[in-house]
Amino acid sequence: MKRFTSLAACCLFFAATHAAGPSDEPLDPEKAFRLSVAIAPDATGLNLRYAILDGYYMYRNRFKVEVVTPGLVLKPPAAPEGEAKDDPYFGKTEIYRRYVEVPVVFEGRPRPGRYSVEVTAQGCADSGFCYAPFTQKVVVNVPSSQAKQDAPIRPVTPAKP
Amino acid sequence: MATLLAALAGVAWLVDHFNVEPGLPRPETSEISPNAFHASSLPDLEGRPQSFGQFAGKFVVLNFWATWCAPCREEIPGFVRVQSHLGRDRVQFIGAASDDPAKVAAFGKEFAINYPLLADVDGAMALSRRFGNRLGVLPHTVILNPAGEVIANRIGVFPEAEISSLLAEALPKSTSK
Repeated sequence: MKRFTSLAACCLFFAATHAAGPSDEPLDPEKAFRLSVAIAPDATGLNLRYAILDGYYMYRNRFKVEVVTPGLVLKPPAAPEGEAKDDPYFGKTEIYRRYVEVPVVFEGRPRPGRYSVEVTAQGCADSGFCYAPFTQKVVVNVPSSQAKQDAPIRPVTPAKP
Repeated sequence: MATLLAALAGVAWLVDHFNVEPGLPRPETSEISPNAFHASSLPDLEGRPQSFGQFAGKFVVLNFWATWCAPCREEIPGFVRVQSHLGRDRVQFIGAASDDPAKVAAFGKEFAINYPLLADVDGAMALSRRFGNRLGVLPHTVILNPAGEVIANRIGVFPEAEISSLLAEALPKSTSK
């Protein structure tokens, strides 16, 4: 009986160490860093929102936004102050955990319409690996006049390095 | 009690044997054959294509990395020491960077890297993916035997002690330094 208990404990331990828990699953970057985009409430730009999974983080200085469709011009992303990370190799860097909202202001007043926009970001996992900068495409519908668009815009393509 | 300890020791061996750190993605099966690997190439820091065929007959430690990748920077000094300790006749480390050649050159100088550095943002990542790195994450290190067959494949930091002991086991004793 004692031997059986020991064996059972061993099996349980083995199963626990090899269970496919969420943190052990290889995650695609769009799942670790979930992007949605919204027109800013005052319609002066876009807000990029990333929900960041536990155990992952994003770098402040690695956001990039490019408009594919002519007619919309964007200023560089204005990423907010992040959490200080004293990296032994990079020195002091800033990162985000859990959530970040990055405003991207329109340059001038864009014409209403649908614009294809590519959003690039980069992040790593605490367990010791980093994703190559990954790009997701979103289609932004710039409303006519001051009409608001509250619904978040989801990427239309998977993240691509 | 003795049975439990023995069982736990067995589990520890299995965990070690499977060589997977908790929370690290496991590389999928490599889809590149030894011949295809030896026929492939990446540009060096001057843009000249360097064929991997030139390393056939040696153990090769192919490290995919980038200067923006903090864990990559963490493991490279250990690779430099192991390369220096084992010598180039027996083992050839190669750094394949998914990065800009100028940044890679500066990094190589700063870290006194003593093995060939290749750089191609897309090409290095594409090759890494062929070795099973589906997510395109870094660092990714593949160890190949002289025939070009994969004997170890890891995503995440490859600690110096582990790579040393793995190579020590793999290297033929007759060629010991």
